Amino acid sequence: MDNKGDIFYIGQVLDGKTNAFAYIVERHKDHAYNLALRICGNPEEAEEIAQDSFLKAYRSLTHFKMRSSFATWLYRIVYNTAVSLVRTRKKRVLSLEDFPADATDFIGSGSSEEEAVEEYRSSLVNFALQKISEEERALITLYYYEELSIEEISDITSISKSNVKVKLFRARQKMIGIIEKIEKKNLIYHE
Amino acid sequence: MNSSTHNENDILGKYINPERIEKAPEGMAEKIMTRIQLERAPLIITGRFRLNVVVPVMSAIITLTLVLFAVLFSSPSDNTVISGIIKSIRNLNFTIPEIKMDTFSGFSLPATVIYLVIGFFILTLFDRALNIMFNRRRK
Repeated sequence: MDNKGDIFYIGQVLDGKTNAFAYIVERHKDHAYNLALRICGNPEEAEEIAQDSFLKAYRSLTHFKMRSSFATWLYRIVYNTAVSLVRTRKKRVLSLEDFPADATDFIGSGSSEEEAVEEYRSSLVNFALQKISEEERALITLYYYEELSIEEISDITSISKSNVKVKLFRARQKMIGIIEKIEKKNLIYHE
Repeated sequence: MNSSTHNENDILGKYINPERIEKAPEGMAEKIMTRIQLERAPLIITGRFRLNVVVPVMSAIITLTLVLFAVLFSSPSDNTVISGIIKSIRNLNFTIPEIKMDTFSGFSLPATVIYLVIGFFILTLFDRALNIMFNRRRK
């Protein structure tokens, strides 16, 4: 994401033009919300986390040193806010039976088979995400959805680069295991 | 940016489409901007500044009044209204009670120490009263 534009608008905000922050919100809102949602798994909570994160970013804008990109800095705030919220609430245990058995369940009115398969895969990934820890969810989201480098992920999560690699590998293995189990279960169901 | 999307061996990468990121709900940006506009941080800072200034100002007024009284007590003139008030105060024959240290066996402190202790005690009470008063206002 272009950091020059962010720096320009941050300068405007620091000069007292509060409305310039709207451009920053508009640029990053989807990515902030996406990260929050993948970590907490609840749309209402994700919106609250994203809102709080932008507010925290606004309040501490003077502390933003511009050593990293604004997006990385914002992701760090979202990550910390989401992880601390998830850690305070009761853990919900999902069983494989909770996942719909058939891909046809994902065919909506007017959607094609391709779209249904895409929807099915997305739900499969979301389901598997909810079965791993919040830290692993964040790592998977930052790596696969936000397509960030190991270095950037390490910067956001404050986990060393080598540890990010190890944790990412484990999280990936866990998710593949869950996805394979569900697909096997669905295969048996169809037979 | 990573190269996960180009890695053929990455099974999970085949399931994840980076373009399918969840979009923020309608009106979220407006809500954030409204909350930012409502930020009352500068007001709170002003309030705290005022509260912090009141105590030293009050302290300065009390000190100045005491100094003024001390000067007036030491050189009273016959022409002013204040001198009349001072004279009538003097006529009250106000004296500080004499504390006899002999009554406390084993004590050999000068009497002024006792006055200092009483003074500190009164100031502490005054300080506590101010503290309670300003803490209530802050709440």
